[in-house]
Amino acid sequence: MSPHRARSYGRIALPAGLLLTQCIVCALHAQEAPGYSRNDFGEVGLMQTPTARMADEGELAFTASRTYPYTHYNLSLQPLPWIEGTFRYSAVSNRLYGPVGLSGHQSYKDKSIDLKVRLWDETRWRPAVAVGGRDIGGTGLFGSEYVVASKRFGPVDLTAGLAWGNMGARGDIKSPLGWAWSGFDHRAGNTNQQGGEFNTLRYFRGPAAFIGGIEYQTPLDKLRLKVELDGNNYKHEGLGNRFKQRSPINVAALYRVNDNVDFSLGFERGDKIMATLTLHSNLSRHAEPRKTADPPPEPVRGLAITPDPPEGAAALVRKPPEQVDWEALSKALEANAGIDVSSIGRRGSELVVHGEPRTYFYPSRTLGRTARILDNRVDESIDWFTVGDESYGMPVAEQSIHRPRFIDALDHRIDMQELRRSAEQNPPGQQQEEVLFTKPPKRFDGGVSLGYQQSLGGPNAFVLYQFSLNGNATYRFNRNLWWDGTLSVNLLNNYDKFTYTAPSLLPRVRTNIRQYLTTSDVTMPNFQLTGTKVLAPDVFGMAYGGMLESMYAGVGGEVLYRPYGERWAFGVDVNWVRQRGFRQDFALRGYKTVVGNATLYLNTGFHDVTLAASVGRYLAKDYGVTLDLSREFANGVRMGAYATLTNKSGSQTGEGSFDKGIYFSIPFDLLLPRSSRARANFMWQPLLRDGGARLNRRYSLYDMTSDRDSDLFEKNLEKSLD
Amino acid sequence: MKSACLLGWLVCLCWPVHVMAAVSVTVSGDVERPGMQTLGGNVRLADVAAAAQVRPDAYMLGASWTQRSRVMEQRRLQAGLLYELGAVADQAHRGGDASFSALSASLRDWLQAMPVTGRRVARTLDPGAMAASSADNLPVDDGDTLSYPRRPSTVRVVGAVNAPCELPHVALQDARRYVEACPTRFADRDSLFVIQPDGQVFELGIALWNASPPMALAPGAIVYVPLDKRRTAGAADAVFNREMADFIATQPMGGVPP
Repeated sequence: MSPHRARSYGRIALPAGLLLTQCIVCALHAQEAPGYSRNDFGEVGLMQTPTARMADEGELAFTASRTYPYTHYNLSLQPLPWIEGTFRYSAVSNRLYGPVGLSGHQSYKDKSIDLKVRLWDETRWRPAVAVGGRDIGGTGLFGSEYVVASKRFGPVDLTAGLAWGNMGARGDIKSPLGWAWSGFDHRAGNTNQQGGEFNTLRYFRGPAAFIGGIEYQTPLDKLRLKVELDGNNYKHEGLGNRFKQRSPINVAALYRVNDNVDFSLGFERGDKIMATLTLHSNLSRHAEPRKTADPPPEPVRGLAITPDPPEGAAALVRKPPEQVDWEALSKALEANAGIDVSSIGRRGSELVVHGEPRTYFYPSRTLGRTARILDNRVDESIDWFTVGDESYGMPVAEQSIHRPRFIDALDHRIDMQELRRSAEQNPPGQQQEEVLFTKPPKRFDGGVSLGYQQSLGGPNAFVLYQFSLNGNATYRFNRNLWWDGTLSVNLLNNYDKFTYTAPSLLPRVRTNIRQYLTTSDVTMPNFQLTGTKVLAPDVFGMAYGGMLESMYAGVGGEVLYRPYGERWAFGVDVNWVRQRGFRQDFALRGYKTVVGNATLYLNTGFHDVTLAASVGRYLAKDYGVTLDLSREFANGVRMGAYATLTNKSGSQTGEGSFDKGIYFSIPFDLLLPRSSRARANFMWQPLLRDGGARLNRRYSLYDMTSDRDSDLFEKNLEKSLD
Repeated sequence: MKSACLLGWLVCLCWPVHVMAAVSVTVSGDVERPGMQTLGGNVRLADVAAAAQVRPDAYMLGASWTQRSRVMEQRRLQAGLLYELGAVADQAHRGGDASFSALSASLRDWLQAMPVTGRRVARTLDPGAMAASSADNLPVDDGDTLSYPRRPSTVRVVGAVNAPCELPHVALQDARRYVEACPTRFADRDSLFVIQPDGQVFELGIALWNASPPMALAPGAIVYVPLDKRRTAGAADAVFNREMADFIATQPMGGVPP
């Protein structure tokens, strides 16, 4: 190319490129639904009222808002496109938590849960309609139900609806449902002083008020304005509060600082300033950061991108399987593919690496790196590469890839669809195998880590926290039998404020937590021996004994039937446990019991929702059921909720009524520049009570065999190429 | 033993064959050396573009690449759409809606006149960009074609229109403005499809309730105005308009009959 040509080329290529970028940016923008904003209660909505809008699925938002005397801290999850869940701590600044002797001058705290369900989405003529409840399971301080409809007119989003309860306290009309049944005419007072029970006797009862408003997207991209008709009259607020409402119209301006931060400032009740800060992010779309701290994958010979002549691993001589240095190869597999190899075998022209994947979150990435390493060292007599996943010594699943097709895919000769046809997942151990190499396990593993735990919203202080230094050690007798121990040293805490011991009518199986936390600075939360075994094809077994968790010691076992390729599993666990001494050493207390559960796990196939239903006996010798629903996104992020109801639920349990919680779990892999199989788990459990308390077992067979879930491999097969 | 040995040799011979065989690719348009390029070895797009010497003033956004392996799938798509348009025309005819029936029939003829090309949408066919990024520098097969047109100065509006229009391209003008300049009939009131010259297809909401932000078109882009969903219901399925846009996108720039 002549210099003249090159210049004119640059002149045209640059604007063309810019234009294309512009088009793509516009297009991506065009495909996104307008992001809606959140109200004071963390729901997608205006200020005091919700709209029928929903955030994109996978959205997680934290909203803090202040309007005298309420400060709300809300966590909202959008597990499905049409379900929104919000969990909240509210502080009421003009009321004390309790007697000054117990809780000092701490303001009153309330916890609540909301649920909003969209019945149908907007179309040309029909508005989106949602129905929901606020504070549906709490003390009912903000208990409200509503039906809202939203319709968009260009930059204006119009919402109108009806609200009952706190949100509709103005009571513009008498019960609109009264014609169906007279029971709807009257709304009972708070029937649930304990809190924590569903106030089903009150839902949609009593008079209702009109709510609604306008959300206007101004021509300034970042600025939105909101006007709202508030249905509350603030005359019958919880805790005996009565406020004057000068105007039922609330107004606010919302400034979208960036894609993750919204700030809004408003004016409510005609005389109160409102301020809200929202931090939000979409977990399901979160892509992993560049893995700069991982070793680069080995280059493979013969590709357009591999330097010619090849160097490094790509320059190795490919040998027949009998002549390969398996010792060196297994070290390379451990270093680069993250597999702790237990054995390597051959089935005709297929090479199988058995071992425990320890580094990469995505099984496809482990397989891709293994295939590169093997391709550089093994001759053409092998045309399939297989990784036999093991978990704690138990073979779980096998992933295989066709060698020539994999190399073609690396060279961009075939696309993902074609590679998909050349990759397989199978149950382990189907065929005879010629063993080429075996390796004993690494005996000892240990490490030191920092620990942090907290308890939110108790009477003594809003946050009780503890930093600790934890030493972990594992000794493996063989791949199926090992000992674990944890020693924890307290570094910093504010447990000196922790003087409250929750009342209980049940045996104190969990409410002794204060003593466990405050008696000793050096504790041994865990000291146990664990053994695993594959009892039959698809049947896994585990037995353990020792100091199983910080409060209980004992022995137990679990059996899990998890048929390969099915979406369900069934497990049973039984444990004999005895309460441990408060110092968490080897001492034991008198209380002992047998606990256990039979659990059915079912991946419903509907939006990747998994249901775990278990029936069993709990620590306070109560019998009951636990239901756990969770959604897992393609990138491994999970959102879920659980509830336990037992024959001792309700008044016997005291405040909180029954055990429940919500959680989300993010793979560290999505957060770090280094691959990791660990997860960051966030559990929100409103109150720790004795009813429905489960043993915190260190291992669960369902988690151990999670690689049997074929979705993570299939949905992320492209990661085998990077 | 002998046969095993022979088989082994055959395997060894066959193994590198697909890498070493010569491939012929036809290059057309604004290039120094148009016509068939025959290259050996591990042949990639950038090699073909270099052999044909793409002129610097070629319109890279409008470049297109066709492959035989894509033909069958696109033929099926075309056949399905022809059938559906026939059924739509039929249904309208039976319902006494002669003008909608005529529009569907004329769209059917128009669709039938389009060749099945096997166009494959690549991220870029710019020789410079392909040489710089191995993931974009894809391998070519025997019989592929590459075409580098000149930069056009128009945008076309097709589909549910009185007559297809060719309008002068205006920088950064929204797709909706082009459609306003070209009278439509029996058009869907909620959406438009934009086919950028590189073959990418985008759906835009145009009603008050689903309005998308404005989208600028590149010269040579096509706006497909979808048929009214209420009128096609019963004869064509819900993705009919999207598939129409997808098929129009298989045509190289300038290849769509007016």
